[in-house]
Amino acid sequence: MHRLLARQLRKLGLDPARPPDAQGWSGLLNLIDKTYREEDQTRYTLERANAISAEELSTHLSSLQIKSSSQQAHLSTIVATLKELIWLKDSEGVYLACNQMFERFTGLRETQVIGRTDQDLRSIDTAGLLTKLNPFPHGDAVPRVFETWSRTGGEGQQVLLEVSLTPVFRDSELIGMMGLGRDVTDARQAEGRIRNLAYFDALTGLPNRLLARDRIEQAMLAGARNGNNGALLFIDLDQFKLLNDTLGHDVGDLLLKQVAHTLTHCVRKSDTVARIGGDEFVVVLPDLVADDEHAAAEVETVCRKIVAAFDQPFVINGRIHRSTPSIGATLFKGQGAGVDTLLKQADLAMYRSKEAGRNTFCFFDPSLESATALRVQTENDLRSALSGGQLLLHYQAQVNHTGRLTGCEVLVRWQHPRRGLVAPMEFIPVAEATGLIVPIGQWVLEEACSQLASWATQADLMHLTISVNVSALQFRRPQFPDEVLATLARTGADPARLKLELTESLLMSDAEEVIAKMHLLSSHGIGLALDDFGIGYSSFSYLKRLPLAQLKIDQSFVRDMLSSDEDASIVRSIINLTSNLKLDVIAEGVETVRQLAFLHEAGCRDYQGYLFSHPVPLDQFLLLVATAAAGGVHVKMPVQT
Amino acid sequence: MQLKTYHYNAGQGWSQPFDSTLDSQHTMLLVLSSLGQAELESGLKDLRRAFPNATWVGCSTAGEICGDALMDQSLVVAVARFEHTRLRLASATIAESSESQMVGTQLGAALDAPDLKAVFLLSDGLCVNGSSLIKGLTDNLDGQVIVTGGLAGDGDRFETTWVMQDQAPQSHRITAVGLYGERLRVSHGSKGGWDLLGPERRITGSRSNVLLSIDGQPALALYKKYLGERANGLPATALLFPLAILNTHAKDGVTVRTVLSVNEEENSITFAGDVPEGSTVRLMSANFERLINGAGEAAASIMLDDYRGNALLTIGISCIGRRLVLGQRTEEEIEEVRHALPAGSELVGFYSYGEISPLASGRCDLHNQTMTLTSFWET
Repeated sequence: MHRLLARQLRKLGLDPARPPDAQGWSGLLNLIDKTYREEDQTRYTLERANAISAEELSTHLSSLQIKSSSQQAHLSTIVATLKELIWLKDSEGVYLACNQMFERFTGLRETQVIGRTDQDLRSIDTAGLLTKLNPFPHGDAVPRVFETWSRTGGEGQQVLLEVSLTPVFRDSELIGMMGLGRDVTDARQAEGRIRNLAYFDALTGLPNRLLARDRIEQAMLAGARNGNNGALLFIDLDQFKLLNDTLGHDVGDLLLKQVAHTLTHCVRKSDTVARIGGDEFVVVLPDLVADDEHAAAEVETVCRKIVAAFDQPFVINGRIHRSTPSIGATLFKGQGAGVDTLLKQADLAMYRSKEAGRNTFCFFDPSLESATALRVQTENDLRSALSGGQLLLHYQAQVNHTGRLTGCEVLVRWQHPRRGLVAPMEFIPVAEATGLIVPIGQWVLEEACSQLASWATQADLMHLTISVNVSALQFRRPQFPDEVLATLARTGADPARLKLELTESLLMSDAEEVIAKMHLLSSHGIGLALDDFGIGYSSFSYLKRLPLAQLKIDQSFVRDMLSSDEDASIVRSIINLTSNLKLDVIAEGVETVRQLAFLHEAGCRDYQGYLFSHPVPLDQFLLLVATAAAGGVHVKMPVQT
Repeated sequence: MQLKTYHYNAGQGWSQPFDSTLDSQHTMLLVLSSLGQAELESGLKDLRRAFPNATWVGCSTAGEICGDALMDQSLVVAVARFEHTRLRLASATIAESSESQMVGTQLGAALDAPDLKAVFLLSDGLCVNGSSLIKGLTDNLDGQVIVTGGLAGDGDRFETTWVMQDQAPQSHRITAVGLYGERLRVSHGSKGGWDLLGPERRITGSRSNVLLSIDGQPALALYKKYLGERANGLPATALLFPLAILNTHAKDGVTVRTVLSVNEEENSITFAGDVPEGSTVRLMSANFERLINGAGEAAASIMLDDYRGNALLTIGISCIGRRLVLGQRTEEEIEEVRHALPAGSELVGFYSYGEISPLASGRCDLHNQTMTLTSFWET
């Protein structure tokens, strides 16, 4: 029996086994009637609720579908109209989608790329562009942002694209990659303009004070690294204020622009010209030579160039204006002094130039000035020395182990009209710094070759060789080999009697070019000797490749070899080395018999030094040759072989 | 604890003679009735004589539960004399539902003590926002204190409710009894058994417990659409479709709200607890099997681990909405509960306008449409 019916009977006190009486029957009918009504109501309620909610859910679903498809449409519209290139690839690198901008940029239709990889599209014209947009292997799950210059497929215009590649994951599995490309050409240009505003002077386009400070710091850092000097010039235009006040700012501005132009042309590309105030300019000269005096000479050259450039009048609005600079210079090496200190030093020096009558330059360190003054004098005198026949050659004998005089080294001497004989130490550095060493070297070569040609006709002199020192500056000139050959041809000298002495430092840069020149010279029979061997740059691997005839043991080793075991062993090593490389070896600076004995014992067979002869004028040298021929030099060789 | 239950109706009088030895300061007297005022007063008169010293609590109902029976027009009484438990009664007047939280806070403050174990709360069923009341009450109480109880009922009329105050019924009152002591054990269980129905909806307009609009449509219109011809039975028939608020904490499942009244002019529905704007809600429906199973599950979830067979009082508070769906089969859910409880223990209770008990997360809240059970015993 149903639980409810049983309860209904129980509540009415009816026995399920017997029919009820009239009252019980009526009560039971009431309850059963109530039950049916309740059931109807429940069914009505639930069925209605189910029907309504089903309808609601269905409406809800279709509104979601409409919303979703309209969202899809909105999204497509947005993606299509974006100014960015967008493309989507799966994890195999197959294109899944791209937008209109991508199509326009690559010149490819979406239908052409979808379902293909960059590999598949290799044959098309814009394959290179696709590679630029997708430079990483697909499956590379790292987000990348990079910039690339690309040419658009359609218009062929160069644009700078910022590309970002973003891996796409689903449940931590890489399912593809989205690319986004943005044209940043204009943006980067704008950034460049902003940077210019911050670091450059708007009027002249020169670096401003901020950038000048940075460049000074850079030069200081470089100096700290390589030990080279740097210099700072502070330049003020004389009477600029007057010009500005009388002719107006426009004219002043135009002058400043021209001055900027002029200054820029007076310095190397690696130097910095900056405008740091009204008519104040700064020049930063980094990477000058390490030696202070030489560096000061280089600075001086620049200052003279600037002063000379201002000799030319400036033409503004068709009118001629003259302007002169007052320059203050200071040297710096490394980061010892701060930027502000340096600027102050250069500024002070500039005021000294003003006091000295303007249109000139002063060093902050006065000792540099007197040194340069002497140097300037020397330089000027040296120029006239060349033309005035004040230079002359001295000859120092070279002797072999048999006592036979085999040749000589020529050394240049300067007979100054007032100062008398000037030591090479005093004028060779100036000649090197000013480049005068080149014409001097050429003069020496001419003289030596003329001498060789002359000796070739005399039986007792024809065997002699002449060694000529060649400076690095001279050798580096591209035309040097031609000049040597031309000189030989002009004088008629025998190349085999000419020896060129080169220094190790020559090999420190452009070694390949140097070696090529050496081969060229050597192929014409000219002997090449490496001077001062052992004190500088020594690379045995280079040594093997050089067409050398002779090594010259530096006199410093010879001087100390009897007192220093180290020097003695260096000398022995050099001699062994030459023996192994089948080179001649000559020792210079031989002053005592004991030195000679040591060298001979070690295997060195050629010598040069005061023991045999000082460098002497030609007539004395010829006398020495005659004496030697007659019975030997006035030194007896320790061993006769 | 010593325990007796009695029931009374106008025709038959009391079910058994009173045991006055149960009367004491430590006696809780629970009075539940749907009787009219005159008959009620006559029953109460007997009780006052028998149990003058007990702590009286009670309320009007939408049907009383006594044992496995559902009663109407009766007075059901449970008399529990505690041996190791102290009682303290707190009560307050509430004029309108906006005062609910404040009143809750006052009651909490009055009952708070280090050894407070449980609070049993009965409130006027019509002029209160149950959620706010509980929030106020529990805000300053230790989280371990178990708060259960319910909102008074008024059959399916929703006109006037009362709670027991000074041994007499009073409207606009809230009473809470605090139970203190180490040897008191309180366990609870609460289950609905309702199914979610129809799409998720969003509350687009509400004022605390007054629902104005759902998905931009008047709330009342939605209910009328679902109820069809049964809309003329509003507000009671709205109980057929409780509103489920989807909780932020998934663990807490849904909070079910039941209708207290409707406002035709405003097209609004007033619920027994908050219906916050922006909440996601769904309608609910049930058939009788699901509700009866739910009641059984509520009883089964009561933890009786250290119960040793002595006196045990279970107060069952079920929702008027369930009675409306269950109709003549309402007793079946009571039978289901009774069956799951230990034989020899006592079950009393009532059909209410709202049930109070902790959620799974431990946070106490107002429930609707549930069978909520609280068991008390001493060790």
